[in-house]
Amino acid sequence: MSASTNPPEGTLRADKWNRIHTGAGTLMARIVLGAAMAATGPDGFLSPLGRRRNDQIIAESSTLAHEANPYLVQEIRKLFEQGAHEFFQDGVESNFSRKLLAILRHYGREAFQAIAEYLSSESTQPDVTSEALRWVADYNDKSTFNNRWNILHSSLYSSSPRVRDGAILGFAAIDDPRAIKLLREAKTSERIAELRVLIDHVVMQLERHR
Amino acid sequence: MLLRTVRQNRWYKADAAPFLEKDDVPADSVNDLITTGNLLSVWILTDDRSNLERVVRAVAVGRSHIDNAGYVVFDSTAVENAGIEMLENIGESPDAEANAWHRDLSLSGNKMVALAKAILRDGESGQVLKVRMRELVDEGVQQGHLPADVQKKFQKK
Repeated sequence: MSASTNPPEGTLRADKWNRIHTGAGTLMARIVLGAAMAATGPDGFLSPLGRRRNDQIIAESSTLAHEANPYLVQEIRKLFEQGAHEFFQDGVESNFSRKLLAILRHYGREAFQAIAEYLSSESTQPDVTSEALRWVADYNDKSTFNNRWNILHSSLYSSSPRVRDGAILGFAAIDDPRAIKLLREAKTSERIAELRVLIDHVVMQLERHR
Repeated sequence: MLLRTVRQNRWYKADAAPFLEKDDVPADSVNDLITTGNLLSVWILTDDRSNLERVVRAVAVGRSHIDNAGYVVFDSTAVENAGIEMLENIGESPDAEANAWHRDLSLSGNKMVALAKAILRDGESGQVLKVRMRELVDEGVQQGHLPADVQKKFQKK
């Protein structure tokens, strides 16, 4: 195994869980998801064609895939707790971002599911979550697009302005005009003036693709 | 007007309001004013702010990767009112022309708090988005404002 494919430190239990949990439920979910995607293609599966709301379709597709690996959720929790001791700056890598990327590379979609699970179930440190959202969004991998989109979408409504900032910047990084509607909706309830301005800037950027 | 690069989400006015009401400032905002040898790096903006993106880019290209770049803008009277000395130290960014707009503010702990308070009360904040920053870097190289190796450093992974 090359250095780049070595599992991040402390994640071996998560690998073991994967080997054990290939049960019928997971298999069935994968079959259903695969059939849905095969029927419409990834574009049709995601595109707002008037059949259902775009964000609804994306939300359903990733929750269908399978439950989050509990050991990986634990690793993510540890990583985020360690990240609370760091001071994040724009354009500067951190120990947190390096370790987060290592986990994302090693576990792919499962890591995103674990992050979604962790963020939805716990009270997290806003600075760390905001930083994570920037890196999650920037992870250039089509196969995890839905997972990343969902994480950003739910974070748009976080009680923490810093988390919302990370989500808005995440949608700017993904640079997909389908986020325009979500951002405009989020703006209607946004109490931070700077974030309303930021949403306007991101929407302007995304509108260039139309 | 002066500009300092920061992480914008530490400078929201609504979050700072409860602190300012007590004549205080959020520690996170003060923490964002990172000094070296008690000097805080700032940049002079032209009256029409036409150099804003260029200045933010000058700072951003010195970092490890292309990213969104937050900043605060504040009036130089805030510096004078706080008794802060402004030193005409030329910048060291890869944009040689932009370096002429660079200044250092000589700070003590009290002066740093006074400056953060003035910025939160009367200043404003913003961000240059990553996608725009990538365009700015490309433009900078094409126009000869930035060395070509900057573009290579930031090639999209």
